[in-house]
This record gives sequence, C-alpha cells and structure tokens, in this order.
Amino acid sequence: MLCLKNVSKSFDSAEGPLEVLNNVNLTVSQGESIAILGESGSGKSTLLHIISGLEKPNTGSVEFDNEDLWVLGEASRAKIRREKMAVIFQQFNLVPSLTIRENIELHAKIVKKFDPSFIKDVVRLLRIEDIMEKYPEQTSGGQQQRTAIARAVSAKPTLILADEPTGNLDELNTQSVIQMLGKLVTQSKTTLLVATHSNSFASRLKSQVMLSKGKLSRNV
Amino acid sequence: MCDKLILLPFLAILKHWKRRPLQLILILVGLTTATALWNSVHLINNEAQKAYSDAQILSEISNEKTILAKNGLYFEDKYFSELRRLGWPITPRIEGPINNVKINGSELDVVLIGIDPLSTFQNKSLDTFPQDLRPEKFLRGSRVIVGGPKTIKALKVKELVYNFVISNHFPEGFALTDISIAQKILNAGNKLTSLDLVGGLPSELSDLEARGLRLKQNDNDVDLSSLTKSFHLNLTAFGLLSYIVGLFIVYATINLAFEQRKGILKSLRSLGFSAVTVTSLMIVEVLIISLIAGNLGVILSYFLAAALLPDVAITLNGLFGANLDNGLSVEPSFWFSSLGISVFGASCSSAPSLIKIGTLSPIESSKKIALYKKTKSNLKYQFATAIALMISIIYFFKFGDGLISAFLLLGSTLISATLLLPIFLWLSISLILKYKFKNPLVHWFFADSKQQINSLSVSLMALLIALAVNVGVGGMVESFRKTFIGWLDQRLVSELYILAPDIEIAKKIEINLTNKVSAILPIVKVSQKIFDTSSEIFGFVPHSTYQEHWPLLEENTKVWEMLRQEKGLIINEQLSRRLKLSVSDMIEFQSSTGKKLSFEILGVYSDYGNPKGQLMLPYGLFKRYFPDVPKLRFAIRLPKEMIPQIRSDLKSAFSKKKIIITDQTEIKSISTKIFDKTFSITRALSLLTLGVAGVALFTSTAALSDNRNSQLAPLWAIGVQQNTLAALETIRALALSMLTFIFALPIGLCVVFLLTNYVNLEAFDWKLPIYYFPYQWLSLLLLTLIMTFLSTALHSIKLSRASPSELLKASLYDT
Repeated sequence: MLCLKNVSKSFDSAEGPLEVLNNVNLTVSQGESIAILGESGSGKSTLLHIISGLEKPNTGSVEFDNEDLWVLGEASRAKIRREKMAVIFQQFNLVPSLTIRENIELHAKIVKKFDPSFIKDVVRLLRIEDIMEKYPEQTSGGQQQRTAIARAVSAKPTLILADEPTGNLDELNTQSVIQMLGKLVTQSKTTLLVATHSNSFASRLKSQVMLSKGKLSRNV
Repeated sequence: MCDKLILLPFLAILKHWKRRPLQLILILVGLTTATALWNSVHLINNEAQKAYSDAQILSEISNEKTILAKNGLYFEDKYFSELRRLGWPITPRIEGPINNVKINGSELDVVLIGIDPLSTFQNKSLDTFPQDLRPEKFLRGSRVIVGGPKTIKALKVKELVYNFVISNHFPEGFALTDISIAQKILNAGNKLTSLDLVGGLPSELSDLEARGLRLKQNDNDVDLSSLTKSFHLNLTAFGLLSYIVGLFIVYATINLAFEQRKGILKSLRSLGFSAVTVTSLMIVEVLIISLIAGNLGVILSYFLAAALLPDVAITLNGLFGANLDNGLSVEPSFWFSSLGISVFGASCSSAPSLIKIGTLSPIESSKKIALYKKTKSNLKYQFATAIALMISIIYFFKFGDGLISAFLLLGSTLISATLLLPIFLWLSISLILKYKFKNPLVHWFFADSKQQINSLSVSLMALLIALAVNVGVGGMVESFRKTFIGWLDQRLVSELYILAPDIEIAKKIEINLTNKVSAILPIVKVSQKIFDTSSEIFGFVPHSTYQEHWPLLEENTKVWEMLRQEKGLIINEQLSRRLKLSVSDMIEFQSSTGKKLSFEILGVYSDYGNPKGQLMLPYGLFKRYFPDVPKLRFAIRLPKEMIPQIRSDLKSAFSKKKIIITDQTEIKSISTKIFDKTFSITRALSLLTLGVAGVALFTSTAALSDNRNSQLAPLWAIGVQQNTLAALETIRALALSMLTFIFALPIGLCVVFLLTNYVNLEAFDWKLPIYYFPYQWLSLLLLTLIMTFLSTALHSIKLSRASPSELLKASLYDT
C-alpha cells in the first residue's frame, strides 16, 4: 500500500546542503507494522513527514494506494492525509483552543468516522478519562501525548505515522499505547509506521528498519 | 572590559530586530504616527495662539470707546484740539488701506494705522507691551513704520522711504506709524478717522452732535483666545485620541518582542547579569527607538499641520475673526518637546514589559503561555477597571461642570467601553459556542476566535475607539449640518442684503428701492458687554418676514405682537444659557450714553456657530437708545425674479460708490463653506484615527503570525488545506471586527449624546437636536471591513503560501 522509491532529501545549511535521506526505498503492506530506528538527527521524522505528504522529497516518489503523492496537488494530498492517514507528532500538536475531548473527536468528525463508543474505549485504554474537559495547557506532557495518540486512532485511518509516540510516557502508559496500537493493527488492518529509538517498542512491531547516514536498511 | 560586558549583551538583545525587522518597523510606524498626530495639533494650536496674541496687540492700542464721523467718513483733525479744550480725554487716529501690496504672493490691502504715541499710551500699562511697539520707539526714531516681517518686506517694495522696523509681535497685514506720516501716505491731508477715548466719558454728547460726530463702543476687547478655547480643546482632544490609538500599536509590538526575547533575557540573567542591568539595557533600547521615531514624528507632524492649517485658518478667520495665515513657524524648543512626547509614549507603552523584565526569573520554565488562564485574568482586571471608571462617569454626569469636566466624561465613557470590549467579545462567542455545530471546523473556528481575543484585544480596542469616535463625531456633525441648513433657511430669508459705505448713500438706496421692492428692513448693531459676556445688540423691524421664519426655541405666546409694540426683545440661546435667563425674565444693558436699560425677554432663538451673545431690539427702541448708529445695512424682500434687475439698477445708480450687494444664496454658500471647513479637520482626524486603528490591527496580526502558524499547524497536519486555514484567518478577523463594530455603535451614539448635550453645550452654549444616520453607519461598517481585510490580507497570503517546513518548524517549536 505504501512504496517509497529512491527518495532523497537534503536541507540547506551554512556549510552547504545537508543530506538527510539518500535514495531510500521502502515497501509497506496493508496491516504491517514497522519500526524505524535510528539515532537522533538521522532523518526519521523527515521520512515520516515525506510519507505523510507534509514535506516534499528532493527526488524519488512516494506511492500510497498506487498514487504518487508528490504528483498530486496539495488539495488531493491533504484529502489523502485527512481520510486515510493520521500523524502523531513528537510535539503532540494539539489544538490549543479545543478541549481534550474536542481534540480527540476533531479528526474523526472531519472525516465523518466519529464513533463515540470506539473513542470511549480508546480514552479508557489510554487512561485520559479524567482530563476530557480540560484544555491542553492544563494537562501534562504525557497526557497531551496520549491525547494526540487518541486523536490519531479515533479517526480510524488506514495508515498511522507515529514520531516517538512514547517519548514522554512512563513504562505503564508505554505498554498501554503499544497494546492499543497492536490491537488496531490486528483488528482493523491499520498499517503502522513508528519512528523510535526505543528498542523495546521496536521489538513489539512486526519488522524494523534502520536509518543511518541517510540510508535505510532492514534491521537484523 | 567593562564596556564589552555591557555592549555584548546589548548587541545580543538588539539582534532580535535583525531577525524581526517588521516588528521594529511597526513600532516605529506606531510611535511616529502617534507623535506626529499629537504634534501637528500642537503646532496648529501654537500658530493660532501666536496669531491671537499678535491680534491682541491691535486691541491694546485701541480703546473701548471711539468717536467717529456720523457719515462714516474722515473728519477734520481740528475737532481733536477743539474737543481737547472742552475736556475730552481723546487721542487722534487715522486708518486706511495701502492698496495693492503683495504679501505671500497675493495682493492685499495693508491697513496703515496712524497714532499719536504719547496720548495713545496714556493711562496704559506698558509692562507687558513688546519693546518694539512702545512709544519711545516712535519718539526716538524719526519716520518709523512698524509691522510684521512679511508686511514690512512688502511695503519696502512699494518704494516708501521710511524707517521700517520689524516687529514679530505685530499681526501681518497691518502697519503702525505716527499719525502725521500716516496722513501723508494715505493722502488724507488734515483728516482723521477717529478719536479714541483714553479717559472717562464726559456727560454731554452735544459736543459731538454739533460736529457731526458720534460715539461708538468698540468690541476690540474680544479675547480671541477665550472665544476659540473650545475649538482648540476639540482639536487637542482629537490629537490626544490619535496619540493614544497610535500607542496601542507600540504596546502590542513591544509586548510581543518581550515575549519572544524571554529566552535571551533569561539566559543573560543566568550568565550573571543583574535584573537592573538587563532592565537598563532594555530601557536604553526603548530610548533609542523613541528618539528615532520622535525625529521622524516631528518631520511628519510639520507636513500634517501644513496640510490641515488652511482649513483651520478659514474656520478661525471666518467664525471668530482671527487673522491666522497659512504659514507655520517651528521653534527649536518644539523639536525637543516633540522628542519628549515620543519618549513618554514609548515609556508608557513599554512600562508593563519592563516591569516583567525586572521580575523575570532565570529559572522560570519555558512552558507555553497558558492562554485561557491569562485571558481570564486579563478580563477580570479590565472589568474591575471599567467598573471604577463607570463610577467616575456617574460622578461627572451628576456633579460635573465646565468644558474640562465634559471632556473627562466623554473620555471616561470611551475608556470604560474599551475595557469592556474583550468581555463583550468573550461572552458573545461563548454564547455562539453553546450551539452544537455539526461541522467540527466551524466549532473550532469559534473556539479559536475566542482564544484569539486576548492576542487581538489591543488592536480591537483601538478599532473600537476609532469607530465610536467616527460614529459619534460623524453623527454630531451630520446632525449639526442638517440643523444648520434648516436654520440658515430660517435666518436668511431676505433675498438681498445691502451694505452702504455711508449714511448719504444709504439714504439714497432706500429712496431708490422704495416702491420697487416688498420691504426694506434695516439691520443695525452695536457691541456691548452684558454681564461680562461679549454681546451684540441688533435693531430690527419685527416684520412678517421674521415672524414667519425666525427660529424661536422658546417664546411668549404674543411675542411678535409685543415686539411690534416695543414691549420687549428677543435674545439668542447663547445669552440665555450664559446669563441663565429665559422668557419673561428681564435683561439689563446700557444705552450709548450709559443709561441703564431693562426689557422683558419675549423669546429665545437659536444662533448656531455664534460665539457671542445676541439681543434683538425692535428698531424704534434701538434708534431711541443708540441714536448715533448709522443705518447702513439692509435686508431686502422682493420676488426672486426681480433680483437681477434690482442688482443691475443699484449698480448703475451707485457705480462709483462702494456698496456691497449680496444675495441669500451667496451668504448661504459662504456660511456652508465655513461650516464644512470647520468640520473637515475633525473629519480628517477621525478618519486618520480609523487608519491608525487599521495599522494596529495589521501590527497585531503580523506580529502574531509565527504563533498562529504553530496553532494552525495541527489542523494542517490533519488535512485541512492551507488555503482554507488562510481564508478562515481573514474571516475570523472580519468577524471580530464586525462584533467590535456592533459594540461600538451604541458607544458612538453615546458619544453623540455627550457631544451635543454636554461638550458642545459647555463650549458653545447652544444645544443641537440629535438625528440618526444609518447610511453613515453602513458606510463606516463597509470601510471597517475593507480596512480589516487589507490589514490581515498579508498574513493570510503568507499562511497560504507557507512552505511545509515552516509549518512543521512552527509545530515543533511552539512558542
């Protein structure tokens, strides 16, 4: 369902172009769960941004459901991101003017996949029932991260892209997240791509790839 | 080493502006505009005050009572010595025009005044008199002519060979010299135009009668400065308003700059720089910015004042008889005071931020701004302050007296309304949010708008002030215009108005017109102070013309009948309010011989725009008590179709005589022109204030755009298009402006009420009816929406064109 071919990305810096991704190739099937491992600054976030249509690669193609994302216009890309994907950012990216409940329901309502009972289960699993009527500024980093995860999951996407989703979580909540995401993959055939430097999390996913010096390789 | 210790952190602080040049530009724009608007008004007021004090000189060298020829022409100077021998304390005077003198590129008549310096300044205190106008100047120098710089320059071109002395205290268009020199220049031989009384009045006026002379009361003691006080206070109020609105921009931007530099400031504190040092560096930065803006403001204010001055001059010259020309003079001290205004404004705007810097803890965590908490806290403070101001409003309403009190009432109303605006917006949007919208984006739109209130409140407050003032002043001006035009129609009913140069011509005109026209109505007047109020006493015939049209506000049921029976008089609204007199009260004044007179007030009429009190006496009574006043002016009633014929007849019959014929439409046109010019200044300042509010809105939007990117990035990440988000930004700004307009409208109507019932009443002693002009409100709303659109367009365009990396970066580093 997802196919990256010869994707390269570099950024301008004072010392000249900084190559982050160099001819990356990756094929992901429906329902697969992959951990993208790598050190800090290895390009994991950039790779997720390119796949989600938020960042354009310098070269290469990203095909999602047989459509090259970067040939399509912004409106079409936004539509795909809206209806088929969900992105969990490193910095939570919650909407500050909405309550936790409204944040969680936002994506699901936009794509008309609002399922109150499903959301209730997600909220319970992530242990954020008590903060539903609060605003993001009134909650902790861990609670905000779980909210971001709940929002992504509630929209029942085909593909979830998660950038360090358990970075701010304790062990108990990390396990809850892993359990929930695992359930989603199994039951709904949701494809899962997780950027992480936690080997513990990575080992719970079906396969692992390593990003190092701009190159992607299957993990041993 | 020590210097580097201060210079390095200072440079680090200043580097912020290199990254955010737009913020710096906006601070400079705000401060420059505020300074310029205030200074331009100050310049105009100063120029006017200078003109008044120059004009005051003319009344200082005149006297209260003066003797003129009955026929209005010159008379023999032998009467001077004759009357002196009879005990009259008099001084001779001659006045006349020197024709075709070019001043400022236009041809004018310079009025040459010839006096006898010794007797003119008898019984006068010369302590406050300018040196160059004292009698010694005339006695020491021979053939001296004194005048203003431009007048003397123009006179020199006329090839007059005299000892010209320039005085900066003498009004332009006039020149002063010894009487013998004036008689020579004016080719007047042994003639005089008047004899001024420098002492008490002898009881018998028969000495004058026998010589064909009459006594006249001068109104030269009119104090222009106090007459025009309200006009200048009005200008000052506008200047202050514009200054405050301009400072809103400065406040918003400086506050944001502080928030964005919190990191560097905390770092400096961590490195060992004390709070005093860091705060001092910031103060120095504010000082530098304000000095730059101050200099720019001075230059801009000069051009602004130069643009507004011609209209001010027309108003003051036309309404109050001032002698303001269109030139501007700038003293060096003005430059320093202007810089002071800029520094003061910048200090006030940056004071809250500087206090925060002083108390900033280096170990304070860099958590995101708790917007809701901050908003609610701000709303509480604003509400409390608004309540305190409302108490002061009630106080001024009940106990206030005087013009200053009226302006304070107006000011308090505007400020408390401004403070209540964010609360109104908060409550309005909360009410809207109670509705469960099906589309989550719509819900988010209103929730987000509610959150934005705090960030945009400063610029929206500026917008509110500008809108309320525009509605208020616009409503007042249009009410005035509607009333004024109707009133002019009532006052200027006669088809023609004629002014004869002397009694002989006047008599001939009357004979010429008898049997040709429907009525010849004389208009005569004298000036007098009635209980310290500068007033004019008119003599008129209570003709049906006046009965049918005169704008009486209060009247005795038989007013016109009683006027015809010479049983009373009518007064204008100004005199009625100043002396607290109304119908059936008695009013006292003096005859030309000083005899006390008392008559019943039969009616009070409206007299808009007149700074003086006015009294209208039936002509028979006027003639009895002011017999020496010649009948030189007439209002003529005739069918309209006969006007050209009559004008032509008069012109041919009196071709070489200087008679002035004006018809009704000409006078109405001149009056309306002065009216329009009077309010063009306030209209211009109102619109400028609205423009400044627009800049404030632009400033807030532009300055907050980085923060907005981080707040909008989550929605973009979910899949809402950038164009949609950009469009929603503009719609949000329009919606908030619209809500602000809705709140501003009743405030503006409040301003109309306060202006017409308090400010104008205190200033002018006449009251206007209030009319409502919905079309004006609609056009103001349209203007506001266009201005809002333009103010936020740049931000929306930037957002729609923002690259993904900009949005991603914003989402990662949420400030």
